[in-house]
Amino acid sequence: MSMQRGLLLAYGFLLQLYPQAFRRRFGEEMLEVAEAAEPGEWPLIFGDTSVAILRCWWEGSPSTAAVVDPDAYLAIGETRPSASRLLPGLAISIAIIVGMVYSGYRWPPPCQRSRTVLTRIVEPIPPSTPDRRQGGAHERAHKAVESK
Amino acid sequence: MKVKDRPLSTAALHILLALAESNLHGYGIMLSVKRQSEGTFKLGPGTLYANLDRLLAAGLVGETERRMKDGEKRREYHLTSGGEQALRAEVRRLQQFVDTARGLVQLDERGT
Repeated sequence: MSMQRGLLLAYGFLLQLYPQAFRRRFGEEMLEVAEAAEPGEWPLIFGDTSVAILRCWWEGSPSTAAVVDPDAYLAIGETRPSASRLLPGLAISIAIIVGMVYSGYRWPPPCQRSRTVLTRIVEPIPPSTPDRRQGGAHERAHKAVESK
Repeated sequence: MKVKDRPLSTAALHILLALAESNLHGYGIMLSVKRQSEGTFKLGPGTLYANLDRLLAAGLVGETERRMKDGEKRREYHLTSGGEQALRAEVRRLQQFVDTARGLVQLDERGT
């Protein structure tokens, strides 16, 4: 295989990255232009086309807007959905459901500060029953806090 | 602002200028642009066909299929009357811009 044929083959693969409508309209012609190009022009051809493909997807083009993919709006039952289309959808659905279940299980996240506060709560002693063994120490402490 | 009233991009301007000379196919436009700009503006196929797509949609360029001697069909592009108007308007706009710039920037004999 000559160098030119190899480059043309690679360019053909690159053109496959264009949206289908654009490729149908201009793909063959672009390949002809590349075929007529001189060897020194190949870097420009590859670089320019790569950027143009990105811009075509990002900004859209009149060709892609005008021609709707004929398979885009088929009702269920009109065609039998193929496994190659169903499996990626199934995988994405499972990933979304698992993600939602996991975030529901982990939400709200445990709060470290509230746990610390809970460990320091001391059961209050009713003021009417002073602790006689400690000589009313609790009552005195309570009064001291109140006076502050 | 309509598409026709917008300032043209450099690539679109070069394509319209090339088609003002004669009807051309894709590669012919590329060669014509290279020649007109004396090699300073190199138009790749990606930029060329993205611009042609827009110019066709805006009605500034038309296309016809021509059958060659070997029986192959070749698509040729031509300037429409709308395209001619847009090209004239753009040249006028650029002329006005250059006149204003000349009043502000002093250039020597070599234009530097």
